[in-house]
Amino acid sequence: MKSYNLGLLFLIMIMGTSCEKKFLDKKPSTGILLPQTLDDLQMILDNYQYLNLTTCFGNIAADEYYIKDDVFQASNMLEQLSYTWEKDFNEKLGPYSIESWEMPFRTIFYSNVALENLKKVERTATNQLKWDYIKGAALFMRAYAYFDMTQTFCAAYDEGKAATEPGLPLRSNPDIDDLQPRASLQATYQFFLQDFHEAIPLLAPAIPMVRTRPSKPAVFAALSRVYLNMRNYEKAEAYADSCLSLYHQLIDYNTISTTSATPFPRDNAENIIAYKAVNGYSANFSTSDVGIIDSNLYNSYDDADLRKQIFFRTSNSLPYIKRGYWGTQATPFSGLATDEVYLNKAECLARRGEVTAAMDTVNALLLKRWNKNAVFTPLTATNSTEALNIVLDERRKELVFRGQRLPDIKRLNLEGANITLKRVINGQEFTLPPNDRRAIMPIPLLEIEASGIEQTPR
Amino acid sequence: MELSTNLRFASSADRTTEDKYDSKYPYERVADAQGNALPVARDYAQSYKDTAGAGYLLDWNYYPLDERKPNRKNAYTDYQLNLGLSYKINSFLKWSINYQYTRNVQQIYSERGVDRYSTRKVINEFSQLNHTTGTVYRPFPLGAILSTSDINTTGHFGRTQLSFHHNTGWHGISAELGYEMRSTEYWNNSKTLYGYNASTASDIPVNHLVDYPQFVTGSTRNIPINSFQDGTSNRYLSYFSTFGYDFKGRYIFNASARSDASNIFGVKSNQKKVPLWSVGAGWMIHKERFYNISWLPTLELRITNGYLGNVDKTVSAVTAASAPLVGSDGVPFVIIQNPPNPALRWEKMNTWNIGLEFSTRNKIIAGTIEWFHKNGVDQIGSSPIAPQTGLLTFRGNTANFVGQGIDIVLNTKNIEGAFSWNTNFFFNLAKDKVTKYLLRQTSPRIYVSNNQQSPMEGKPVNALFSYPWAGLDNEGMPQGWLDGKITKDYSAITSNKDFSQLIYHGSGRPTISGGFRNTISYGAWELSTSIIYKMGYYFRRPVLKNSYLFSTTGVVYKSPDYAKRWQKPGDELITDVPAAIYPVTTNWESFYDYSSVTVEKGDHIRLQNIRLQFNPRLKGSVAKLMRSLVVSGMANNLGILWRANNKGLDPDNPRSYPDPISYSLNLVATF
Repeated sequence: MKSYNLGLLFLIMIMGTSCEKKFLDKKPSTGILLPQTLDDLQMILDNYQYLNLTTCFGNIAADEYYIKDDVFQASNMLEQLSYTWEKDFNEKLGPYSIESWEMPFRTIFYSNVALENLKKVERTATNQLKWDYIKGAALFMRAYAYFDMTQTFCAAYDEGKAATEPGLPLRSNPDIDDLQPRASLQATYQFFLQDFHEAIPLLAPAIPMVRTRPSKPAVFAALSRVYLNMRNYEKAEAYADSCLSLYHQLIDYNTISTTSATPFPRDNAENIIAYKAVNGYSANFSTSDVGIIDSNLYNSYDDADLRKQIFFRTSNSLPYIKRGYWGTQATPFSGLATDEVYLNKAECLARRGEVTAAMDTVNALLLKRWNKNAVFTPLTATNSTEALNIVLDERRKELVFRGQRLPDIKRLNLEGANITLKRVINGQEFTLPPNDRRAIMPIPLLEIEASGIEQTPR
Repeated sequence: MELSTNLRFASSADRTTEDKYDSKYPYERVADAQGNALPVARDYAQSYKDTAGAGYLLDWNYYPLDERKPNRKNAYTDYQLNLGLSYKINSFLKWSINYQYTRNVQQIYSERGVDRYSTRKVINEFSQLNHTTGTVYRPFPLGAILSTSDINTTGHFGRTQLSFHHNTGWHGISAELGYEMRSTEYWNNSKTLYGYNASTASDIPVNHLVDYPQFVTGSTRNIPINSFQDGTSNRYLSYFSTFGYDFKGRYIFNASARSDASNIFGVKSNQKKVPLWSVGAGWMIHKERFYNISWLPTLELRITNGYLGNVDKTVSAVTAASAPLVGSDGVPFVIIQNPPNPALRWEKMNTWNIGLEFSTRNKIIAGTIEWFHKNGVDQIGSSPIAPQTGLLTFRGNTANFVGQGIDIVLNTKNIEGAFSWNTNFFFNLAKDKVTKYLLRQTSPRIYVSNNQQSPMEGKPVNALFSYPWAGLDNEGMPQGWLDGKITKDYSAITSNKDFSQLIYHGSGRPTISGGFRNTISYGAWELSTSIIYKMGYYFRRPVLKNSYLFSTTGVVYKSPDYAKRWQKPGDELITDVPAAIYPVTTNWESFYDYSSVTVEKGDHIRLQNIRLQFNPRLKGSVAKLMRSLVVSGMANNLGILWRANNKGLDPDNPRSYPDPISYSLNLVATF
């Protein structure tokens, strides 16, 4: 009798044990997900509010806008120090969270998570398109983040010096214990160039409906920008051509509202891939009357040039930026668009003496910017230098508030353009002479304190 | 064989208003002399609200008095079923099995009509007004916003155990072996309808995927989707065993061991289990032959040592992401919530406990005194991490700490009889110290502002640090100390790496706490009062921040310090509140906010509650109807009797209104 009862008890206990695993495998909350499938990884990369972000130093430390003395006084320390190219930047700022450093590294982390988890998914005949896309997209996002960060935190690329110039910590896995020292600028460029090149065969030639996702034209446009930045004009032109052969649409600005505060939807025809600058500088916000457009720049737009009314608004007769190629986003658009690729191509053509071809390319763009009720006189140049100057002027006007101005100044100064930037605050003058290392943002103190990486010589 | 069943059912409902009125300004008027509701300033300038809609939009004013009408109904239903079966196998072995089923249903019905400010405001914000024709297009439809939720919580609990009891005069042995399963499933189904009309139960569909221009800002946004479902599951399994032995009822030995497992996410099944064990011994001193203290008939000594493993369910060893979210472009995305952390391990805690229990004759004075010592290893905490990882903070095994303290409970019977008076006294002393912390901060800022997240080795887990304060200068600017000199170089103070220059005040949590309870009863009446005290700690009081004072974003400014601010040279001798300076410079605020002048002693004594109870002996037909009847009334949060700070602040709640006094009346009848 007794043994019979004990047997029953053990039977119940063993039954309990056998279904234990199943019982404990129940997910504790519907609010969490273990990213495993290709669809899960796609959703990691589709978090554009986190991933499609770039640094914003290229706007504030350039010469596109200025702020008034009282606005400067009321600005936060980061804005003040960036605006005046402060030499003792970190000493004055302290251990302050800097989104320009943190957000691109978050993009790199997400890309690395996607790449790491993708290794566990087998590529098959049925899933290969999606599999390739995820790999290509993750490589693109990582490369774009790295390239963008070099423009803020590193010296302009100079072939002879890049091997000794500090670059960035190169992270190719999501492991949080794996802290990396800074690689050389040369190695950093090699790292993201390899990512871009690896992404080319993996991505589709068509621009996606959702313009936050990478595509083959996006890689080509990015490579055109990178090689232009490296002053390898031959390759910059080749990749501009590769991009334009796949996608070359321009928007006729006559179809765009000149009164709307948000003239362009995000998924507009020129947008190849949308990125926006991180927060951090109030003068970058298009919704407030803070950053006043440089009057020389504003006055350089012809009255028949629709960009003058579409890009800018005036408040108390001072010009301010409107919202750009990312719909209602208040921070500047910093992605890739066809207009930039046209200008890359035109610049390369001008540099190699193809004056007519260069002017044709610029004119093709300007025709779409001109008021159709006014007469458009195509621009002409008699020699290479003249053509180049026209292209560079148009580049500055077309790519205003795209975060490209400071990288362009740094690059052009290496070409001998001799551009000095100047600010006046409360009667005090601040200048940034050509090739001054204050055009490089120091590595944030929080990073130096936590990982001990080397600071950029200033 | 014994079979027991028990079924319980309970139901309750309440109605509340969802409006939480919080005055923006001191002495804000909410009613006129006749008691009619008055609008108060909210969100937008009055001149704007009055004219922006040119009379075509809904009333944009906020009348707090009109928002008091309840708009939210909560209905709760509880079921509980208990089944028990026990079988006596023989005189010393018993087998039992228990099962419990619980189900809790909560239904929330919230209807915010156009008589509510929040509804009118959101409809107006989405309105598109044609000023020439006066027509209004409303993508956010006119009518009420109805939100309903059905929340179901279902619980299962099962336990089976084999117990052994054997007593042979001198030796007593008892043991238990068992197995337990528990699951709680929570499911919430919420939905929101717009343009709702209660009389026809109809609503107006809206397009959530279109970004509509906003009336005020001109920017665009979509109508929020507030319909969702979510659920959680908590599952536990444990095996347990206990063993007890006593010799002559004088010497007692106990041991227990159990293994708990739960459905923690992202770990292998063998890591889901957490071991726990304890061993203890007791000595009934009063049963010894040599014991002859007649006024102290009970005296017992106990000692235990226990080990506890704990898994933090909020972290996981593998990458975990959020459930998919959908942006306004309709593309689903996820947020990574937990980075991969293959090194994650259990938190471990070892506890020593030595206790003495005693009572005088007839328990006139009875109580326990206990000493405990805790040693925690691999405690899970958050800490800042190098930003190159893509993260700013990281949760993982970061800290070791030790803690020890004393617990005293004393119960006295001061007067016994028809009129009786009892006192209960509680005293707790607890001190802790961080013995190891993985991350050493390089800036004092984190230690003064966020010590819970980055404790300092050698100091309590929650320590209060501040920058040394050196008064105001003759322009009303705060001054601090740096390297023995008075300075206004705030960024130098707030980034000074010499942490010995910080002022360490003490623990940010009470190190001494307890209570004092007196109960007087006479016949069916019983009156009790409860006083609690907290001592030996510090808190930081809110200060006058210029950035709040001049804020346009609606940070509510409520501080009596405004009247005490520095206004003219000489004021620095009588006040510590800096001048109101515009434009705001944030770096002196971050110094002043965390300076030593804003730290107060937290010690206080509070009258927690007074309770009056009537428990009559039931007679005659009433006694046939019900077994007992208890009527009681209670007043809670009666106020602070004494406090160490002279600012009139409640140390438990220094940054907002103190908890209001609450009254309750209870009637419990048992049939």
